Amino acid sequence: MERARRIASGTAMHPALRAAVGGFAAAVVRLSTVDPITTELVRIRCAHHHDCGT
Amino acid sequence: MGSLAALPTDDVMRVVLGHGAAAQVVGHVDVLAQLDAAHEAACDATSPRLLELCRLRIATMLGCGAEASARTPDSGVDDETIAALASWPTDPRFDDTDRAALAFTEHFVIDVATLDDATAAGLREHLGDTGLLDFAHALLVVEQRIRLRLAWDRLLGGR
Repeated sequence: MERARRIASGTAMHPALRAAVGGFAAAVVRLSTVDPITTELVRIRCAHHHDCGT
Repeated sequence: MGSLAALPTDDVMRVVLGHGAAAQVVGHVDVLAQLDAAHEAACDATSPRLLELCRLRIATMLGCGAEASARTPDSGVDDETIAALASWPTDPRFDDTDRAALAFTEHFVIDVATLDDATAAGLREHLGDTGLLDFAHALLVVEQRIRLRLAWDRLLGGR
């Protein structure tokens, strides 16, 4: 679904928050106790559920 | 591991990811550190009052008793306001910014994909573009912590 932008282009996020959110996601993906295929399937399932095209 | 239900969420995080055998799993300590950093950054990037109101609303919506009874020090939210939280659309303790943030939060938790323009614009009017961007990410961090905590409660011996 195409949506109008809700936040102006170029708006910068709080640097520490951006780094921390990205760092958490990266740390989770690096975990080795769940195999990469399952991890990716879960990620894609969540993206579909939330209608996230990116 | 025993019941986690009575522990504060910070302690649950440490029990699951940062102690004993759990800490030996490659990556667990890294995840714990990033969770802590994200939570700290979320608190720094947003209004303590707004984030506390919205954290408590999420806790109630998701049925997380431990988070609903926890209080963030120096948030500026008093007990009377917390007791009235379910009545935020009409209760005079809540101002227009509170209402816009709580409306955004409820929609975010129920179905973030259908969050409408009016709800986003309503909050942007009070917080500005940067404030809305930071608030949405802070909300994500708070919601993830509560959902993660609930999952661990169910999986590892809590209620």
